[in-house]
Amino acid sequence: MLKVFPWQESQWREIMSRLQQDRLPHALLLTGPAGIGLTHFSNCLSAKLLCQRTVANDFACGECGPCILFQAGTQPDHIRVEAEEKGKQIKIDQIRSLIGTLYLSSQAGGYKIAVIDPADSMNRNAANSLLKTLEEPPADSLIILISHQPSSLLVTVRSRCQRLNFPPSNDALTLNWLEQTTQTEPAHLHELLVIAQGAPLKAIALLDTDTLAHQQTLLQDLIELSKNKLDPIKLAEKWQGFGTVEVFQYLLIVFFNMAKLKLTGTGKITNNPDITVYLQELVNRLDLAQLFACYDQTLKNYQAVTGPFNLNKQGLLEDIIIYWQSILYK
Amino acid sequence: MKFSILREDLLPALQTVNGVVERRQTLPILSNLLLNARQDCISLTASDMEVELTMETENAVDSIGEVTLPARKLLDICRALPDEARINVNIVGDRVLLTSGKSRFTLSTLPAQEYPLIEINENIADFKISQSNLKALLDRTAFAMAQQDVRYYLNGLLFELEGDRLRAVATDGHRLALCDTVVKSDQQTLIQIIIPRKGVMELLRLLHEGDDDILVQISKNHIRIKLGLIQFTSKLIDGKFPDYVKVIPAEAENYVIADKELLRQSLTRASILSNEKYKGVRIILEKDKLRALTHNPEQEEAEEEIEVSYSGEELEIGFNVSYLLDALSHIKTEKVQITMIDPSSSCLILPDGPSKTKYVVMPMRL
Repeated sequence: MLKVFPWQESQWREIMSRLQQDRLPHALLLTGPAGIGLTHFSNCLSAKLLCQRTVANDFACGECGPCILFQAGTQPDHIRVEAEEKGKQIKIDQIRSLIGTLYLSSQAGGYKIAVIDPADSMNRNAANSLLKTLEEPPADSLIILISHQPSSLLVTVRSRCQRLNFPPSNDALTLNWLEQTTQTEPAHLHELLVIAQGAPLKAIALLDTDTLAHQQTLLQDLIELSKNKLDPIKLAEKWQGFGTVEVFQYLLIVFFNMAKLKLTGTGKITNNPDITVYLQELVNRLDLAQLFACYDQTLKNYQAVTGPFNLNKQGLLEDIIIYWQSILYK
Repeated sequence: MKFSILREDLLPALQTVNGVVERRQTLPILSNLLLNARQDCISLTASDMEVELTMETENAVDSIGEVTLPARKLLDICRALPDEARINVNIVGDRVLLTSGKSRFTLSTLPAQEYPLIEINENIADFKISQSNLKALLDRTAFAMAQQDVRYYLNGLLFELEGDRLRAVATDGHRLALCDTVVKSDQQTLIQIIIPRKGVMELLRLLHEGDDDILVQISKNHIRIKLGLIQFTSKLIDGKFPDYVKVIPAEAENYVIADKELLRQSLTRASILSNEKYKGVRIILEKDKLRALTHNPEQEEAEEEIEVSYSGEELEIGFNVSYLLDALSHIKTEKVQITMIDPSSSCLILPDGPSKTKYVVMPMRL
């Protein structure tokens, strides 16, 4: 049986109440950070709509014919569109073939569900070719768009969907679920969840990597930079080994929390007490404008890394290190 | 599941259903065939989620069961085995073991219950039609279907059943083909369905000349045709076909009667020097004379003149020559009757004599 995650209950209830009133929209835009389980939610909803046993608010039964096909990934009325290779764009031909399939009658006579995951990887042509169908799809069809960055979708796509948002979740319920799923101690999980910015599935993924160790090193390097002048080129080489995107993501969290610490006097960046002492010193040494300037510079470089142009990663890392040094030794 | 079958009995079924299996598949199970062994009968099913084809073969079965196995590989193996070879099929665990003489093949399988088989619950109509009639009906109309048009309802063939009359209509917005035939049915209310292009093409491949009656079943979402041992099922296009009756011009008093072959040949010659993109031809009608003029961007020109029977006003109309040729080459009679009213109205092309086929071609401004 496909059940939604505990932090998705309220969204599920909302959709179910709309379904009962027969007011389900023809196009749904699911938004939220990566790792919040949007694909899982869309699977739960699709399975529920295609399931033959209709029990009001309940999840799909997982036993009837359509459910067995769904689990095998061969459900003919559930069409998934994703990039052919990871990180690539969804092309116009894929959307055209999806539209062609939507205009055919459904196999079981019920719903036809199209899922575009993630919708922001559609290129401009693909997104434009979807517009007419997205506005007025054939009867009994539901188009689900999944997006981690809804702001990067075409306005014309966004305005044609009803949006269902999944905010970051780091409440007790989520921690409890993480604890049961991973059998790890809660304090550790809490830190992971903070690093994952409230995306529980991402936190689980972090568990298996060296991310935590990398981040400790990163913090230590930041502190080291405040004491001695290190060689930015060598340091950038080292950081690149941790993954450029991940480094920028983490630096964003660090500078954000440092600014928060400066403003409110509360907040925690890491569980390591030694590092916390040093960080506190740094926060005292710098003023708020400098901390925000660091944050802005990191954000700029992060966007450059994740953007459409293939910029030199080493250069972007060196840039942020030199910037940090220039702030410190002004 | 266990049975033994002669290569010659299995091969026709394999070759028939394999046409549906697409080479590039997003779903692994669709590159497999569903093999079902029942009491004294083996059936093979292939599907691409749009068209499903099943073929049965009578054969003794030692133990029943069903499984899916790679379509292409199974066909290649059977084809490569010697004539009159006896193939033993046996499930061992999650594999299928094929043996024939001293050859052994172990094929991977996927569970049969994961195969997206089309199940039809309720028919809204059924009728019987002779195989050659259905083939003629499709032959005469299918060419006019649209291809990848955004008006998705044009990318297929309309079947309209009313009483014992079955009508097929295809149009791409520039020309239209219509054909009527008589079927055995007790359907009273009018039923309209649109069969997708792919289904029509697959069906044309399966149909042969023959007077045997075949059963056509229509349900809300599918059309199913039983052709002897073959069962063809296609999804339908979910949409409403445009009101085609309005675009068919009435038969006027002044029409052209021309020798079909003569006209077709001269238009073919004229088309060589027409604009490759627009294919325009200027048709000039005078008393008992039809002239066809073409020219292309390189200023090359062609002029053809044939004798026809015509007594109306002088007239000059532009057409896409390939639409005219398409219609003419699907007319079987010796003479054709063409009605042209004025340069902004569609022309009606009919076979000579009583007929149930109509072709409409829209004019173009040259």
